[in-house]
Amino acid sequence: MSGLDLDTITEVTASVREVFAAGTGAAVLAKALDELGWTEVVEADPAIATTILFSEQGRALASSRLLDDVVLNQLGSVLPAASGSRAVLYPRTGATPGTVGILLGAVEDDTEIVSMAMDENGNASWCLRPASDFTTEAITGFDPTCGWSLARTSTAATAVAAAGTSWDDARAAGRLAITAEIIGVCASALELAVSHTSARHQYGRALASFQAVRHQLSESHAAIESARNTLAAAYAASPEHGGGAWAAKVAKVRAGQTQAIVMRRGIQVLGAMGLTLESEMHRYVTRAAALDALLGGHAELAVEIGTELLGGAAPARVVTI
Amino acid sequence: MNDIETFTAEVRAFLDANAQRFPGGEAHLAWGKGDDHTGYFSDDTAEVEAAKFAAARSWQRTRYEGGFGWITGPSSYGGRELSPVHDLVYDLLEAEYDVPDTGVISLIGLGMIGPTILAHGQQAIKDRYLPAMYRGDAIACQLFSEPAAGSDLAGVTTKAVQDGDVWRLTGQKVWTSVAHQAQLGMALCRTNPDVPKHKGITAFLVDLASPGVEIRPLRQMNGGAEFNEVFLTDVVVPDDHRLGEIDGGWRVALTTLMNERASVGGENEGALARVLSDGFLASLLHETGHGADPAARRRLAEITADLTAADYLNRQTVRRLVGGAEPGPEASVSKMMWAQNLTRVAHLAAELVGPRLTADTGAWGTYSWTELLLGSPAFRILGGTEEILKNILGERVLGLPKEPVAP
Repeated sequence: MSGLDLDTITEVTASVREVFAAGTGAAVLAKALDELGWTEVVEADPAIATTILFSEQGRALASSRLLDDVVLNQLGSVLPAASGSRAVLYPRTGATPGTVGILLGAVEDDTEIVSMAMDENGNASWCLRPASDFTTEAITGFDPTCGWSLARTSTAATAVAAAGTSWDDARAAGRLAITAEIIGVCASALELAVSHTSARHQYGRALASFQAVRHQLSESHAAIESARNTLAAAYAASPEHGGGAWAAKVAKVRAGQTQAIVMRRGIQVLGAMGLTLESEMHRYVTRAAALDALLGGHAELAVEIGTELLGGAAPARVVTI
Repeated sequence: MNDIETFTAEVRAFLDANAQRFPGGEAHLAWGKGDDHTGYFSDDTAEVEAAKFAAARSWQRTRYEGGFGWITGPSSYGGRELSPVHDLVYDLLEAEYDVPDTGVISLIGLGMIGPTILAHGQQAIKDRYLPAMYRGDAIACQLFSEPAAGSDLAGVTTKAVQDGDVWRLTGQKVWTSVAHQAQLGMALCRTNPDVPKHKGITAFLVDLASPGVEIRPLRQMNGGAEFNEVFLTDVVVPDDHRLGEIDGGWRVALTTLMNERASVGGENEGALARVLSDGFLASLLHETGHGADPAARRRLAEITADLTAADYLNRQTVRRLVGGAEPGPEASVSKMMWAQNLTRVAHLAAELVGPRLTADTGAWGTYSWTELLLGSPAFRILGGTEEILKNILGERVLGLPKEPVAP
């Protein structure tokens, strides 16, 4: 059970919301979280802390390299001690891992880039290179405000540590954080849809008083609740026997499906207004899609899970009362 | 040892003494084991059905005598005065044993009407019927819906007219589960037509053996006939069988419905437990030659994700109830998830099994999916239609403006 009571959780959530609302330059964010006594919150309940932090980042459509901390936290005992700051190079589907990848925010030249590389025998290992070894270009595709960049290098790197199961652990932790962020994006998008359809009148009635509209919003709510529960179940799952990695994958799949439902419904009930850049809705749609793709999209992960189930994986259900 | 551990040990001792444990955990749920029923609703012949009811009643009596007939009930009626968690623990443990399915008597009668009688019944009625119900002697059904009052339940028109110290009931009820096997019915009747509809309803407990009660089965598309029409013609009900105040029946009905929402969604016994298990669904893919089909794998994984969510939500709900909370809107989410999950499983199975779904070739685990498929539309209707649940979520959770009400 949580080490934080409900009142504390509510209070902390409100404070983190203010922090993100105030703007999220990396330094500002770090300082504000520090003032909040964030370290203590994390110590009391790491799962709830991560869920709050990333849900609020999603809700605010903020971007940061907070995810790097989550991933690097899992690698503390694997990588050599850091002399300065570090950033994570996230794999991009279809690209050779290690030489091309995604950075989630700006880095200094002397920041160490942590990447995972695979040798010709399929052995994964961790590499460290200074950021100056990479050329970066801003990712300007689907979600131009994400602040992510595509980084490439031609510099060969020496492996500093074999990845072993640390890649699974790091990826699982990252997936859970992204799941929380997607939930935040979805909750915020649903709020926008609710307020729009409650305020706008047609035929002399609020749009949301029509069942064809309200039912779509209720379906979105149910989908978000479903994702929240899968996430909580994943945090409650035992990390032994790969249960943690498995549960994280299931949570990310559920979150990916949820954003597809919430965004489709959201766009529909906003009508023509949701199609233009004047409405904020497009920002939720594109951010959620980008987050869905990060560390494995829901379609791709679902095939993986299905394959594992057919191979006899029997994940223990969360039945502790 | 804490009290749950003590309770667990007691339950184990009771079950070991009175039932056979399935060998090897969930092995009895594996593909190819036992009968291949997939249905929630029965499509049994009258003889088979009668035998199942007899078995259910007999097992309920055994539970009652063993002290597990009404775990959350008051001790004066044979209950244990324990929490819903103890109830859940009991269910989880009992699932490991080969015992008769008691859903037909427990879901509605013991799960919904019993608590309603306890909350609103007059003393003599509680003393007379509650022990009988929880001992398995009396089965109770819900005489709520009418041809013109389905989702709009408060629109009931079955009339109850006071005549000295009795009431005379006349009208028609419909979609009444298990009425044909029941001894008691809880009826919502119109006692005052001149006030807003919610304020003119009174609830009664009706002895179904009374003259003027006629029960006719309704046959469903899955082949079964668990549903009935119940005709009431000048049926005499003593005033002490009234539940709650005169014209206060809506409050009584809410007690029943709250207990319903709290139970539907968490009930996955027997055949449903099997069709919702990952292992069984994986076998379905293998056995139908779809083991290498990425589309099928993906759907299997999506169902797994949704089952995890539903599972966790149900357990959270139990935790909240134990903490003293009233059943809240999360019960509506839970019921929607339950119906959607079962529907998706039914549709996946239908596609994988293909044409073998429509003709009984005798092959295990093929034609039997018909039961789930043809039963699945009911999941989105029973215990509150999906439309009503979405209205509840829209208004009570999302705070959407109310729909205009017909004048």
